Amino acid sequence: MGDCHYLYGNYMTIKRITFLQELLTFLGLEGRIHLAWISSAEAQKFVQVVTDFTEKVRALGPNPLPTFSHNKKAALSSVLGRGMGKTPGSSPPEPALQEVYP
Amino acid sequence: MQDTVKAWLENGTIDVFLGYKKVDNHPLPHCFTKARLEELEDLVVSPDRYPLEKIATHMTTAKPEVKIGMLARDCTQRALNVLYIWNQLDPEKIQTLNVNCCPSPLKEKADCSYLRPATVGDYKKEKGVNNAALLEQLSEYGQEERLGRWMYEFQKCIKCYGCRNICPVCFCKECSLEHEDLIKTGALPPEIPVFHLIRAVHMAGRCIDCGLCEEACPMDIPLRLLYRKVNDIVAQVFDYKTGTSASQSPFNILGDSVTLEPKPIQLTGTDS
Amino acid sequence: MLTLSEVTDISGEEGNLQVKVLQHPRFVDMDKCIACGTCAEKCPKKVEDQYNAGLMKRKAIYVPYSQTVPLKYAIDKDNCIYFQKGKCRACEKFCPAGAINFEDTEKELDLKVGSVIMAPGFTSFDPSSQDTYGYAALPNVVTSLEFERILSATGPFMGHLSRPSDKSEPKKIAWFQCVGSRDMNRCDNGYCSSVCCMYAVKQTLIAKEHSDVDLDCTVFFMDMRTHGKDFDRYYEHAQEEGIRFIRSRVHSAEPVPGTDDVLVTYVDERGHQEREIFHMVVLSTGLEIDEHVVALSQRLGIELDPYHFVQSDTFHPVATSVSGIYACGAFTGPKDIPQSVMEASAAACAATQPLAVSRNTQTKTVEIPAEKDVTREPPKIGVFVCNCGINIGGVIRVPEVAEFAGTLPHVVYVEENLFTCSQDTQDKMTAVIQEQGLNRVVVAACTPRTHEELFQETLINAGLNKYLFEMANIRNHDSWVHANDPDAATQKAKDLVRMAVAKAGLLSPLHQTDLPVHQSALVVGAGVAGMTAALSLAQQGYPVHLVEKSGTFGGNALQLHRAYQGEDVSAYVKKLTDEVSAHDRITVYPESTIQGVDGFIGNFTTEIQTPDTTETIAHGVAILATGAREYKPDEYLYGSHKAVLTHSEMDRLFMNDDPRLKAAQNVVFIQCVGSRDETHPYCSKVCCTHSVESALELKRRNPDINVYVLYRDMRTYGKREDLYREARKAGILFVRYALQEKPKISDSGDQVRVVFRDPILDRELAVEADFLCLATAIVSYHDQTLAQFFKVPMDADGWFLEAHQKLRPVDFANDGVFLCGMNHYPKPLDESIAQAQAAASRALTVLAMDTINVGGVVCHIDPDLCAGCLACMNVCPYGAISEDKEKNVAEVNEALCKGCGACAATCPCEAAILMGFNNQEIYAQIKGALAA
Repeated sequence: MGDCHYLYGNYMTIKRITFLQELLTFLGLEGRIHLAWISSAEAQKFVQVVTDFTEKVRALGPNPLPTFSHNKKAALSSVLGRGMGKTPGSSPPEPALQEVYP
Repeated sequence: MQDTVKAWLENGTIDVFLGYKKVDNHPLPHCFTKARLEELEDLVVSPDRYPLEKIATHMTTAKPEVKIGMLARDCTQRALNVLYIWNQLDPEKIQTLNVNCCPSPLKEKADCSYLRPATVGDYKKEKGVNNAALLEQLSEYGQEERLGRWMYEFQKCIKCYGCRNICPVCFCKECSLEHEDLIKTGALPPEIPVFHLIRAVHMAGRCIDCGLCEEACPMDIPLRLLYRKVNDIVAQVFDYKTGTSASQSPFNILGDSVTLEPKPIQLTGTDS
Repeated sequence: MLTLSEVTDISGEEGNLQVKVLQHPRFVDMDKCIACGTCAEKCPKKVEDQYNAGLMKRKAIYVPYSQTVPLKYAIDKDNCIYFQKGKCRACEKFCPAGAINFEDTEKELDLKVGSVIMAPGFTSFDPSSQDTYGYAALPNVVTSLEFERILSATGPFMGHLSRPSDKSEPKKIAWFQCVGSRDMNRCDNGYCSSVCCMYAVKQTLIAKEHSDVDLDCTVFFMDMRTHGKDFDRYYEHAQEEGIRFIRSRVHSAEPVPGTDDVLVTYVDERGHQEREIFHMVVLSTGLEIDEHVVALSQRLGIELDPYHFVQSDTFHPVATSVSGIYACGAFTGPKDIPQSVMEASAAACAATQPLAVSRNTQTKTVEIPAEKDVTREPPKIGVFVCNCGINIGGVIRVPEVAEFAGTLPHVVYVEENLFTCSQDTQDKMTAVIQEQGLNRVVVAACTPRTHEELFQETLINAGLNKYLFEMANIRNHDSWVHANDPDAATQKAKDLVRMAVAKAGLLSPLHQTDLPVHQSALVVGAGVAGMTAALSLAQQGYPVHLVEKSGTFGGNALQLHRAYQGEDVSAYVKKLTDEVSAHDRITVYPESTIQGVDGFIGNFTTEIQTPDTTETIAHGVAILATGAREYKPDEYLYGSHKAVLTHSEMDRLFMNDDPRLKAAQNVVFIQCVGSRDETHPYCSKVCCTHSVESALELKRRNPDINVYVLYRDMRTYGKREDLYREARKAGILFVRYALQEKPKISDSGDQVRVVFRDPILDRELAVEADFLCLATAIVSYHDQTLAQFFKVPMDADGWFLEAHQKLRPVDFANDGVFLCGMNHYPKPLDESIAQAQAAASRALTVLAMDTINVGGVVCHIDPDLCAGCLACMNVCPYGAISEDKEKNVAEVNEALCKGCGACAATCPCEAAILMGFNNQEIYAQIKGALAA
């Protein structure tokens, strides 16, 4: 860490990417962004990371986001309402007011 | 209150004062000046809110030397801190007249007392995201459901730009949300979730949780919740609490050394 | 660059040397080899791989490792089947470029040069002869270099921590320090190798990281010598991570019958013999000079010391005894990377100094055709798809890719080449660009890392702006990784070409401008470092402004008696001061301070406050040599008892030949006063040697005197170890103390009573000392103002922070500003001088240019979009962005911008645009990638 061609560029990168990972996870798009430090001398590691990540994304399946080029409604229906009720506790209890704005 | 403002205007502490003027019993944002001191009789603390800070930013852009006074609630103070850090306002030129947050049944514990808890209909409860939910509660949903619920909220968007227009900490001359490359014109809903993600990312280190965006949103999208998450992450990752200080910028911290490590790839399950 | 070559003889005089070089045959034509690796793949002969310390195999045709420069294959004649048995030639048959040349012969070259720098490096000590550690017999006793390869991702176990005997993962590893160093019994290496303590600590931590279990790491050492910048912190960190450090020279390592483990026998500090079993042992082997280098040096008449390092003196650290021949790196004494890099630059400075008059006398200029204005033309893209012999063409269906490229928008010309990079293709490409009126060029071939410049030059020759070029890497990213799937590889090649074409259509010409360079330097601080730097630059022909805050020149060196090799410091300082004062290119500003600095590389203006007036000077570079100071402690009765002194005060007694010295019976030195503690958690590097030196001086003046040195670790690194040995021979007593149990001092009339615990006797001892010399720390001046003026960072200890601690030890991230001497870190005179010469050398790279070329891939901030939030200014690592207060917008200084894009990533308004990588271009590429 810190051993970046652009001085502390990789400090900024890891913070930004971590931020994005967390945000995308919050919206239900987890696991689709990955960061690794690989130097030009680490061909093996590069291959490993790319292979692993490819496998992971393959396991996650195709991009769940709708494309709006043709039929908007059909596209949306592919994502809305999916996975409902499959998770225990999927309807969180109505929060008490005090809890909302502590 | 009237006396203080009057004194400030008279002795030149400030050139203008941003507050609320009672017009036909409606408090409306108003710029009080020395020339018309008599208007101060109608100066009130409003239970309704307008982003006075944003008006100040616009004024400063047009006339950088103007000294501005304004009524300030907690959220105003936080917004001002952010605007100082982002070099949009000069703390030397701003005087605040601090007022309590407006009366509310939640006053005791409220960080913004005005917002009444959102009333959420059954359909939204079933399909969307409860505006009043806690951040942790959303993680109880599975990945697909989380995405589906948010996409339900986003697809309601009518691209009115109300959230941006009311936002006290939005100040760009040209908004990314109007860039043809990112958001195609003439389509509704706009490209989702990109539209809302762009705004969410732009709120990192800026959103001061005033809730005006959500209030302004005609479609009831839980924007405040989304941006709360954004700054929750900023607090964790950058160790930066947005709006709490006028001295520390998130960008000074960005390049500081970190103990974070890239997350390992988890081949099974999800890495949240 | 001459590879596979050795110097056989040098004759003549400095400025006019004849060098005889013997170049061994490579058997591979460097102009033709494209480093595709096919030859090595097909070569049937496996050879032990020296690069991996024999732990792996390579082929008889090979590159030593993947970052080899130049990246060209070579045939190892001694192992090649064709050369040994007369048959095979497999490499020749498979080489797609026809680069193999078995007829290649040895060549003798005669070079005419002005000076020579020798940087032959070192070899690692071979511990095979030391049977007590069983290196030759036990597979799991490895050298540190072998262990380094074991830990490496490109090493024999791909970075998985495994031991050689059974490839199992060791759970317990021991490191033995000083193998082949500080040892006159089992070898003749009396010196300390300087780097092994630090690399051993590094290896323990990396091994721990690579281990799946909680690895047990133990280091057996004599003195922990982590004296470099931030090294002590690293050592502390290792202790916190649970690395065991045992102060003992290990007695023996023996096999454990029935296992591959190693039984280690050692005596602990209390004198108890201990036996412990380890799964693996790493020998921290020292640095030695190769016998070939010794032979060459003898041939050239270069004087070597008894250990075969160059015999250099403190004041000329990179000179040899032969004029015109300079030396750097481990050849002049064992040293670490930053010190080697400094010496390398220093040698470059020293070696070019006598040649300065002939600078720029052999420069040739090239004719460049006028650049065509393409801004009003619609894109006309030409795509060149390369087969790279069979490298790409053997996997990807290149004709199909070429045909596909022709269907893409704006593409008006497509061509397929066997080798797009060959010279005849360049000529053809130039013609095609002109004939077809192309205004954008895409080459689908290999990597821009190696070939972008070549193609950009072709564009220039064809009258196109060189930034109207884009590469698609269909070799490294495609045919090489998907060799088994031609269909998918072809599809991917199309995707890559589509992306490149999409971006190319949006490319706009970028321009570079030449800014004139003020060919003069500012040096701040006139200590030895500052004066050396100033004098070096002046002798190289450039005017220098030398600013010193005090009235005298010489800095800390004025207080020093002798350098570690016995040289008289004051005489040297006087000579240096005289030379500096007399030099007509040096303007001195005594009793002056810097009041303000403006500008950037090549164009600084600085305000200097002299006693009488304020002067403003223009200069192209600045060297900060502001030094540091001796710490004045508030412990050990310092300041309240006249027997208690610091080093500089004791040196003063030596210089004045103080009668009190003669009368003294007992003298005690206490090391690490104010160093390696909470307030100054670093090693001051110079104090151990200084104490030993002063102790010996005392003994020389009065052989009957009793001298005691109370220390924590004796850090007489490198050749300084000889002094330490000499001191012990002279009867000086060295007693270790611990930070938790510091010596206790009390007033005892004219003397002070020093009470300390001897860890070997385990008893408290007391000495009535006539003098107590405190080896106090070197501390920073913490000059924040200067740091802010030059926009340079300072670390927590107050040392200026260089651009890179290992590789750029005299540069700042802010271009055109350099550092040397003790404001960087405490260091002895020879290292300060080397660093000063290095700083001068780095400064010369700027001063030697009439203009600096700025622009190209840099950032531009659109003032119409900028909202003046200054987020960009806060994230810019190079201080290249400033605020235009008038317009309330941010501005980029192209001379400082390195094109990293941090601002573009930060700007909320998309006003910061990274030229050549703007958002539209990147969006187009992404859309191109997803368009399949």
